[in-house]
Amino acid sequence: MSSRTIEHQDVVRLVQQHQVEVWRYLRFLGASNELADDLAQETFLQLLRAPFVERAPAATATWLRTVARSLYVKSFRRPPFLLAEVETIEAAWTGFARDDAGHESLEALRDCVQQLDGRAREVVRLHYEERRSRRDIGERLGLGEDGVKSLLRRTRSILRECVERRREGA
Amino acid sequence: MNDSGGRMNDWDDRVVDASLQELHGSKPPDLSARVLLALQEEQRGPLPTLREPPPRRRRAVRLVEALLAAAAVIAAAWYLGATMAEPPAQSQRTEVAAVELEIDVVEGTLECVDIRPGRATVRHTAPALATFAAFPGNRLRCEARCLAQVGPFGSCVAEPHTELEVKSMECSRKQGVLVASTLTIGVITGAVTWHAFTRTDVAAAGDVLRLEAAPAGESGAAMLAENERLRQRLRELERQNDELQTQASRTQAPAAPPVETAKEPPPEPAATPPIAMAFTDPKFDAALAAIDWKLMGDVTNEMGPLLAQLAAMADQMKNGELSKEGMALAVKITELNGKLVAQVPAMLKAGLPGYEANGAYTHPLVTANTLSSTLAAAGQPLTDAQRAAMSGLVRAFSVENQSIADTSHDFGLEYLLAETEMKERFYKEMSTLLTPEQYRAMYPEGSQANDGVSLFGTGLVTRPYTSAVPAANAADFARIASNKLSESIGFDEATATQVRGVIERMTAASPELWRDPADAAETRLNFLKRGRTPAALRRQIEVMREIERTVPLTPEQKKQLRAMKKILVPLPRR
Repeated sequence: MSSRTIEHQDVVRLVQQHQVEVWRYLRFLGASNELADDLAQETFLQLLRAPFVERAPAATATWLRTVARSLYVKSFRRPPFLLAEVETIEAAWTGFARDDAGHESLEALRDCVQQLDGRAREVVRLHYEERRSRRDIGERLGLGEDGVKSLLRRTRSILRECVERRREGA
Repeated sequence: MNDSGGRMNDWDDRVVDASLQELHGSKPPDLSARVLLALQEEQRGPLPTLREPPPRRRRAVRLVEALLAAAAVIAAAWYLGATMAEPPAQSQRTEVAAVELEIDVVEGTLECVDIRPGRATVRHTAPALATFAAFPGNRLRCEARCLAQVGPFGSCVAEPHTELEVKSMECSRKQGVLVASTLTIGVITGAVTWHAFTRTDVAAAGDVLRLEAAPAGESGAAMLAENERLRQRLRELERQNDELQTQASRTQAPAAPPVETAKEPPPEPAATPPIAMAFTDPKFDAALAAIDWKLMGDVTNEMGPLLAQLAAMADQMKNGELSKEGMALAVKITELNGKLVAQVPAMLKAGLPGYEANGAYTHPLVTANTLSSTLAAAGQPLTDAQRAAMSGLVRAFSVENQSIADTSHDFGLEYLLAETEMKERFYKEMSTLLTPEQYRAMYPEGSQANDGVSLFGTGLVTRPYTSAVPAANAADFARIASNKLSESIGFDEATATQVRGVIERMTAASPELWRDPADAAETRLNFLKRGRTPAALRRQIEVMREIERTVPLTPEQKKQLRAMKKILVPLPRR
């Protein structure tokens, strides 16, 4: 795609194309739903305010992520992560989102969750579906709060490997 | 996904975490309409609207907030605590057209805008006694900073370019005279700190304040005392600002040549030279050096036992009033508290992380230094070994404090809870390092049973946001709490009924909230029993999550629910 400056109608088109990825990226960075909404909106407004020139979709996605990340960092008094971590952050995100804003990974994750059993399945249900506190979950599963934290992390690790296997096999 | 050496790093973990949240309900929105609207707004130019999110506050605003908020924490509105449970007026309440309020303009210029036909806008420059018609739509404006006493509704400090609008009021007729009993005010632009008799509220553009009038008998002397206290605090604030500006100008000045500039007069010594800090952190040392730690210790050491004495007087209160001795004690505590509050700007200047001003005041570094000075003032100084052990605690908890501040929370109150729980552990671990004598200096007898009585307790963190709700049972509490939520968030009747159901069901399932009937210190002085507020806060967050999950709310209502700062604490009636 040749490069060109953009107009309002281009912004709307780019919102349609990239909004899911920008919003997911902000959530991944740690933004709450509301903050992600606000910052994603602001990110797209920057398309007109900043010197943006549209090129390939992948380049646009990278530009939008950079702006979103910068806005997210600015929403804190102190940076929520180190500049040195940006490469790791990008690697984690692009590994997950690939070129489809993470749709396929998310679908794979949905299947992987279905395959969980025992306490792993239960902790996902209690934490993500019922949004219970660690203390509450711990009481139900006979674990301390740290135990719940570890179980959640182990479960996510299993899920991540499962998603990777599915995507590699796809 | 990224995998370095087969181990999952934090960011890999986060991406799965965020995805799981999305699978369970947090869906990406369609932003097209929002962006389109924003583009149109940009073409029209910025327009101030009531519901816009509050603007970022400048440091000056934060300083004023800090002073007043910290005062609200320590010097509780004890003498009016009992009146909270009583009806504010005996006569029948009616909705009326306008009520005249007397406003004492203490500082700055206040513009009273009357929108009724034939009425004019009048400017009053301090010192002045103004009359303002509390009529829906009428406004108060301050171009520069302004301090005023507004009838029986307390004092307000308005930041530059602040505009307030009367939304509604409830009135009563007493002896033939119409008087306002509640006043609801919207902040159109700017920010205001409202120091009422039972609490301090800070509101910015878009916020709404609901104010209750002080009981008639207290509106004279108490207001004058309140005015005087605010004036004194203002003077202290100005002095602090001057000092900070002087320090800043010295810091920014280029290095002086060694000999030629020796003719310059030497810098004046500080009025009270600060003593060395016992516990340090390179990130904050420069700013914290401005704090007078000796004064912090002396005042804390003196004030601790007085607060405990005051709490013990609750049983002797008659008709909700303290005895003469009690009032004298209250005045003394207020005076001492003013000295502590004067140190807060330096804490904020240091940029200490924490949930608003009181979060900074209770930061591990500040707490440990205050404790060290307090023990020195009590003649029980820390030993080197204790100091070394405590340094480790301060470092570890400071890291945890920063981590909590950097974490994004769905609900604002989650931040407050995380910080409260962390600080509870910090106080506990710190106290285990002390000798019995030192422990008694930290916690004078009678200071540990109730929040707000100890100057080394998490009550300092939560008190500004605590709203006690006297209730007979969960159903009673749910009724009051859902009314309060409906009022602040604007639920319709159907939504309010659903919210009430959730609150009742979940609160009834929390026996720990109902086990302990309220005592006199709680009902009369608003010193809630220790542990009551964190337990209520924990449950409230779960309730809020459940409301969000099960009750259909508009995006604006969700936003307000998540931003809610008030902790509604059930106070079981005997």
